[in-house]
Amino acid sequence: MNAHCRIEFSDDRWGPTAFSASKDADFDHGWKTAKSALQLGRLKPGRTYSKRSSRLAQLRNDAAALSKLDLEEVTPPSIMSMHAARTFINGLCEGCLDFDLEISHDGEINFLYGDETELFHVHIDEHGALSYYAKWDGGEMFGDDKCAGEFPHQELLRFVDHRK
Amino acid sequence: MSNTTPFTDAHAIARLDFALIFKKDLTDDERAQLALELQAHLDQFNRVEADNDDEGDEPSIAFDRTGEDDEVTESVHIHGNYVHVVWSDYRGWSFSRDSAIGYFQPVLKWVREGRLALSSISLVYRDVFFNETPDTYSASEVLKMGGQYVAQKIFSSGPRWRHWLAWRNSEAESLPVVTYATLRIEADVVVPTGDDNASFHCTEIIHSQNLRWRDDALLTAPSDEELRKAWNSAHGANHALIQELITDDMLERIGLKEGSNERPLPH
Repeated sequence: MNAHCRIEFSDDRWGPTAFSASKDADFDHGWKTAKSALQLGRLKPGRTYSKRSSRLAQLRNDAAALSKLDLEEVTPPSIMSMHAARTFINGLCEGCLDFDLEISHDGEINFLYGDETELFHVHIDEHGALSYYAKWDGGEMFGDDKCAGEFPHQELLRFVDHRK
Repeated sequence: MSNTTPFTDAHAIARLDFALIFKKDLTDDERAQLALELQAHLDQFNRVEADNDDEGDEPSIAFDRTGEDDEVTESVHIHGNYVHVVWSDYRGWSFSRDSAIGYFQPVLKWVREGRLALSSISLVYRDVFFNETPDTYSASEVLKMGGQYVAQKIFSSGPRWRHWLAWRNSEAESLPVVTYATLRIEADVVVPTGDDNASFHCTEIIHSQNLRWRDDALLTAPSDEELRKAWNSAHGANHALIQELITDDMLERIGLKEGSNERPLPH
């Protein structure tokens, strides 16, 4: 690493040398990185970002709580299933972040929408494979053994819109 | 227990930028034509009046996508010599990267047709940490002491300081790209205007990777896959940097220590 360092404390400067901008730093000049989010006042996450983050945190905390039980018959989610669950949550449309999250004692992760009569259930197994089953408006739909990136988010959005 | 918290429950990322940077400034005609093509391509975005106060003095053309409560989740901006996609609602690396490449398609078409010459690409993260009780602020709640990226003096410099570091990763001659990296950290007490005027402390870490291909041919017409690999490389460098930069407690709170509570798959 070839580094040049400049550190500022109030108006004082100290350190080896000022950073000499390279010819490749056009982006820095054009983009005005000198204006930080702090200076711009963009200091709060949006509602959607907050909600998505809190669902991701819930997933992480629930998985951690399961692992802390330290019981023989309880196994926390695998790395693959956690990765698939995060991919699923990150892919959700803004209106689809209100789900019930359940992690089973054998580490399978379930996302539940709706109620007993109209439902959309998404299940992620220990290998990270995703399955879903939906029932509403007199019809059913399902899919098995998919990767999280293949989930039909528009169908879930249709279900959520129907339930509004 | 630390009084400092990351930007959201799961992430410190306040903004994530993907940029395509050109060798020359776009002409007014090129900007206008590119804007029309982006407008047709970005069907979920609205063209908005550029807020030059936000981005500096240079003119820009902006497209925003909004989420609930009309907050902006993603933006695409055309500037003088670059176009960038800005995520304000971070949705994981793969999703953000692939969606950004998708948003860039009209621009990439121009690059592949030789109408625009690409100079480099960039990836910039802006990570933010808050402390609602500024009197209790300590830099050590966010930053590891003893790391190679931060001068030790900041840990005894109170709540207001700035730190800037830039370097070139030149040791790996075998890699297809050269990386120029910058790290800027700002610590300050913020006093909001308006009714809610309780001050708070904010630490903002801006870390960027600027990549240039060694092979000019790749820069002339990079495929989506080559862009994916280049941004993966930049993301990996940012990930390694943040792992070394911030405390284990914060790493855990923003999910960068994930794996410890998860069981490995059976062989």
